[in-house]
Amino acid sequence: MNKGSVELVGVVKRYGDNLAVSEINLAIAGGSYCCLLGPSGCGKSTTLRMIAGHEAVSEGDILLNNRNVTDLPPRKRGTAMMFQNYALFPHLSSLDNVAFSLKIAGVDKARRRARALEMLQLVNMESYADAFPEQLSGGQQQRVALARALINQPEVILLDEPLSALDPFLRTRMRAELKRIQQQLGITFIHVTHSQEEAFALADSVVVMNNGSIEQIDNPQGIFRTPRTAFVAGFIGGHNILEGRLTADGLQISDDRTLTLPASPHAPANIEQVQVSLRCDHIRVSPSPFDAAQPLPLQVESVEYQGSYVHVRTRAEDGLQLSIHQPDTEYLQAPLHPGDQAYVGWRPDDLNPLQQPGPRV
Amino acid sequence: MRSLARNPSYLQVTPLALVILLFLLFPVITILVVSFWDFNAYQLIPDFIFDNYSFLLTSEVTLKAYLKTFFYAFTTWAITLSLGFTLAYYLAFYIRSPLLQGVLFVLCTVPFLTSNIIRMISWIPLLGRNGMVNSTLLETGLIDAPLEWLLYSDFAVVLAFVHLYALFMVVPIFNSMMRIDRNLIEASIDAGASALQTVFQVVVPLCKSGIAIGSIFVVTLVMGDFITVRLMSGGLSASVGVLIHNEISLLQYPAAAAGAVVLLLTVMLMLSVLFRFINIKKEL
Repeated sequence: MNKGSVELVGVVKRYGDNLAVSEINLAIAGGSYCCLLGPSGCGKSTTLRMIAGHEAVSEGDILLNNRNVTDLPPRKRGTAMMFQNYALFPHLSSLDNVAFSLKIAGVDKARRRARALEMLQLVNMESYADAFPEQLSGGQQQRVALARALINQPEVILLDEPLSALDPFLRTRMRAELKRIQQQLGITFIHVTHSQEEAFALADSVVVMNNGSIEQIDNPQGIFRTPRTAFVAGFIGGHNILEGRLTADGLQISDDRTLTLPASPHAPANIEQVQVSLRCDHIRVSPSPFDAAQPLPLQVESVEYQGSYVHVRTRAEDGLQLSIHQPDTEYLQAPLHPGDQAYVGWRPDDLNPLQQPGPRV
Repeated sequence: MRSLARNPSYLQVTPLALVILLFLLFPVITILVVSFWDFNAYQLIPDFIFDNYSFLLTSEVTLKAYLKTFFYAFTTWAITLSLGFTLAYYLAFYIRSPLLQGVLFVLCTVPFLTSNIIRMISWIPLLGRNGMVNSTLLETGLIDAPLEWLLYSDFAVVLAFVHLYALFMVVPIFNSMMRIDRNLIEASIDAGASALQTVFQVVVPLCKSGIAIGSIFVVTLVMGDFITVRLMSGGLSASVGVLIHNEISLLQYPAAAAGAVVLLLTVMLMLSVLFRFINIKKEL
């Protein structure tokens, strides 16, 4: 692996009897953008802090560039952390904030200021060199924090929910900025977030975490097209999760309804209860029957116009519930209303078998 | 009256203005006026003379008293600062549980449940010539003769001051430490700073206001004190406060008033220097 690779081997974190992170194995390629995605309390921040060296590892090893850094202090690891609320020193100007670590290292004033100014230029903040953090907006503070993280030429930058304190508009802009800087410098970024949108937009690889363990590691397309577990499908959204019994004909949802499953090599076998996911935007919905439609219609419960698509919630008498994202052009041709009968259909391939959470087979 | 009705803010500041006028401005002005009066052994004579000041400012006793007072103030300040900072640092950064933090903090204030005088007097049986410290040291054979400097000495005075006023340093410093974002400490460690570097580069600058407020408390209290100095030095040293107190006992009010005015100006001068370095208002 190239420079800046990070590897976690059997990493465990316990707080007393509480297991915060349970045996994580993860390899992040050098120079890639990796997002740790999950709900709050899933162990993603703890994992990041262990990589940074701000949290001791209970068990297992952390390797950076194939060098075991498990017991090294943060500065000796070649990582730099960007904190959630930026953690800029309020008593120092932007320039001195960026130059802080050089001051600690004993670099003389002229040299460290010149270097800090270069970093501020990289994030387009050179005109705010003398401003104090309280005089800067959230986005500006973040740029300074990024410059501060970059000044020691770390091989890995660790970002703890860097965009969560920004308003939505600024968030999208800073997101693009982060990606630009990452590609320009070619260093590894590990970014903790609870927003799948952010993870999809930024990451080369997304690590979905839940309850202290990893649910799935894949690129954004892989995560969205073939979520591995019900948790992943539910967390990233835009998926229906269907549950039923596996029979010779397919997935039996109820006495009257059996769905045809794709002939997939990793279709679970010998399991009575199985779950599959079905993308909301891969379901065709219509007020009248069509070729590939399910024979039994569902009842429309609600219809929400969302712009590019219309969110239709339907329910059948046998308990099947489907959320459908109908393209707005189709909707306008034959609008559905709550209470209407709706025929739905999809290709068998669109049913994505889910696995029970746990270690991958 | 009409303008008052239209702008009730004047009415709203009246109570505070009255309190300040009655209890601060009026006494100070009285002292200022009396300091120019004449006096003899029996009475005060309203007058406008500078004798009180010229005597005060040319007397060697005054100079000595001021030097002594500065010495007490500085020593007490230095000790309470290092003690207070360390204590507050321990409370704020090492004690993780908020409950224990609260309990320990209250524990710090326990000495204040008794009066100043009692707290001072309780040192006497401990430090006296035949006190507990001396007798213990004698019995263990560490010393041959009792230590004379334990009581009725500068040591005893400073000790009592530190005991009395350390909390005034702990509280504001602790308060400003609790407001420091813990991420800043980690950011400092992330930048490679050692624990000591973090304290001096991050914690101290961010506690400046707390340190300043604590310093104001300690310095003004020590500068104006007379009872601690008198009790703990056994009357052997005199601070400015002791001089003023002596003059009051001799009913030399104008002289005492002049002494008070000079002391007031001195303390205000010291504070204005302090305010020059630290913007307290910003922190409150």
